[in-house]
Amino acid sequence: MLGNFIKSALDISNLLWEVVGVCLVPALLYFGYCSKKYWRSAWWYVAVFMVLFAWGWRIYIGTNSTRYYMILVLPAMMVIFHLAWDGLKHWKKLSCITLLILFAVCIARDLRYNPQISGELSLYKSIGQDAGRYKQPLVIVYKESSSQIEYYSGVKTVGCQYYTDELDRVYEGLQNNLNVYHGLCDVLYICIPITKKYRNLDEKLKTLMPDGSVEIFGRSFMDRKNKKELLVLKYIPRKEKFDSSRVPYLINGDFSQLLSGDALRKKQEYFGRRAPRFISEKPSLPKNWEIYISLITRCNSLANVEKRGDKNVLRLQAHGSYVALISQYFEDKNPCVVYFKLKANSDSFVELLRQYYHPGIMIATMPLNLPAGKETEIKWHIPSEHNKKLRRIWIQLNSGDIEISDVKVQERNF
Amino acid sequence: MSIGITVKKYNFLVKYKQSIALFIIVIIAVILRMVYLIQSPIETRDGIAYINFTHKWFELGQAALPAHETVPPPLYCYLGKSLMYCGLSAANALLYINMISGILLLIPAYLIGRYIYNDRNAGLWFAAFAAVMPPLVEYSCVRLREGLYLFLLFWIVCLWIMTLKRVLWKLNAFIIGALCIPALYCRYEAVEFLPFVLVGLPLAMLFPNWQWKNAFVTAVLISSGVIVCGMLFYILPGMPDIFNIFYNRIFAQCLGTSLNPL
Repeated sequence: MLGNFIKSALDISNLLWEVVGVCLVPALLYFGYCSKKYWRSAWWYVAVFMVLFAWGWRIYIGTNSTRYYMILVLPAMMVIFHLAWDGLKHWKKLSCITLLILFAVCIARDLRYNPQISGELSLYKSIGQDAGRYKQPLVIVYKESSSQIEYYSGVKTVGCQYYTDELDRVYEGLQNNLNVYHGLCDVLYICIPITKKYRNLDEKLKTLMPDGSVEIFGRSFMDRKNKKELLVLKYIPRKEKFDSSRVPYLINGDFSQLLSGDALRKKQEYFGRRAPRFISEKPSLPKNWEIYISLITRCNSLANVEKRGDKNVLRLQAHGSYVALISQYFEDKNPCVVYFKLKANSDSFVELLRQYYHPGIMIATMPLNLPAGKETEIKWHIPSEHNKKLRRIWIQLNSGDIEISDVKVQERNF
Repeated sequence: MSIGITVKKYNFLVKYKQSIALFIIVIIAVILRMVYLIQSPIETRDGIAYINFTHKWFELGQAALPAHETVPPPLYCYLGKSLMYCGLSAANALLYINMISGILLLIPAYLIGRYIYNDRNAGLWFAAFAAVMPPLVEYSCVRLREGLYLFLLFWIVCLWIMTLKRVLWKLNAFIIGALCIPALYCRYEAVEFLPFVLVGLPLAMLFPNWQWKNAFVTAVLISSGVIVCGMLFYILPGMPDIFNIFYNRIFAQCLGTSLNPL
């Protein structure tokens, strides 16, 4: 609580507006100096009570967005105005000049033009125009929000949950993997915001797929200082051979081995509230796999191994916000390929993620929007992890109902 | 002689100089907001979410959305949806609400300055300050709830000050209570207004001159405003929609129940 209080006190100037923050310091000092005189007036009660209550309330409910602190703009204005207006009595010239400067700065800020906005907007619109030539376009956005691109381009957009501005990580996640989208779209646009240090990496990005068919569709700066740039790549996914003839070395990838009643109970106890609820009365979960739900929000995620003909499938359902997770550790640092079959029983949103340990980093890779009834084979390339030996993959269901089967991991031969 | 006639001819300018000055400030505010709007054509992420929410609400006729989608406090979108019946698009309807709120906000700003300093000129300068203040200009030009929320906030504070100054204080106390409800339906955090006005204003009324009667009457009037406006929000046509969303978003999570279980 105290940490939040101090942090929000330091952030106030940023949250409102830097100029307001700077003016607030002398204004508050002056207000404190004058408060003895004003303690009987309505003004004093209104300002002090409102500021402390609003501020305390926001700290209590733990909000840190600019918008949540907007209530403080009124008392800030009142205190600053008090300095200027009341100061007129004592220092007429100084107050007039201060007031005029303040007004001039405010108007200058209102009229400030960001030339990059029109470039960004035209980039979004050009994605929409180009996508109009295809039947099933898709945009993947490695950005905090994908809604702006979807709104202005009119193309179906999938946002990546784990945002990173480290181009190397995005590159590693995408390399050789863009064909996962074959069948889900006929053209793929990938929007990646890149920072200054990753400029001029066009050649590297063109090698995301071995055939070199990735092209740079467009780019636009996102801020006035040209520090951040939005890069749009274009790729037409192709069918990749699903070679399952090699020997898989993943344990229990076909979900044939199930946990016994005792082991199941122990696992449920181990996960506690994160343990998934079960679809059938006789629950069965596979050995060597970890399945649990997110604690972020309340949800009713379900998991169970079910029979489909002569093979087992793992069925995951996520009702609500999040999440059924499935993961397995790999103690191998060589590059490999993960194969599995995925079937969506209803419209589903799945993310394929990798996780390093030491330090623990979650790397966003492939967000997939699967329509109901869609059955697809995924070939997921996992690069070598350098010195990070322990790692695992996550198949994360954010919403919908999916069936996973025939999970295999093979060493990559290229 | 001719000077005397000229002065007499334009005497109304002197008489209404405050109103004319306020009108000029409003014109400047409108121009600034229009320029800002032209320069910042990209809508914010949350603004787009509100546009989509409003559009769906209008098309479906009800605001039932899947549970995993964030449901904003519904008043802003409800007003947007209502304006859509006039033929406006969701984006324009939401923008007009904030634009109009942002301009009309100058009236409470003027009154705040005027009643705090008992000086009309102070009111004008404070209104001018509000007209050019960048956060206020920004929130008038984007499709976020803050435009409407700040408008309500300015009115609540303005009426607060007028009540303390004994200017139509009984009526103002009632209106303050009534304004708390739309503010609450505009931002969940606005629940802070309730203790702020229910306790803060009667205390402020009580303290300077120890007038118990005034404090009691103020508290009763504010509470009545809250109750009457709260009931109106449930009784008026279309308003139960708002109540259902609000209930499901806020209270159902606490109580573990839902009016529209998915």
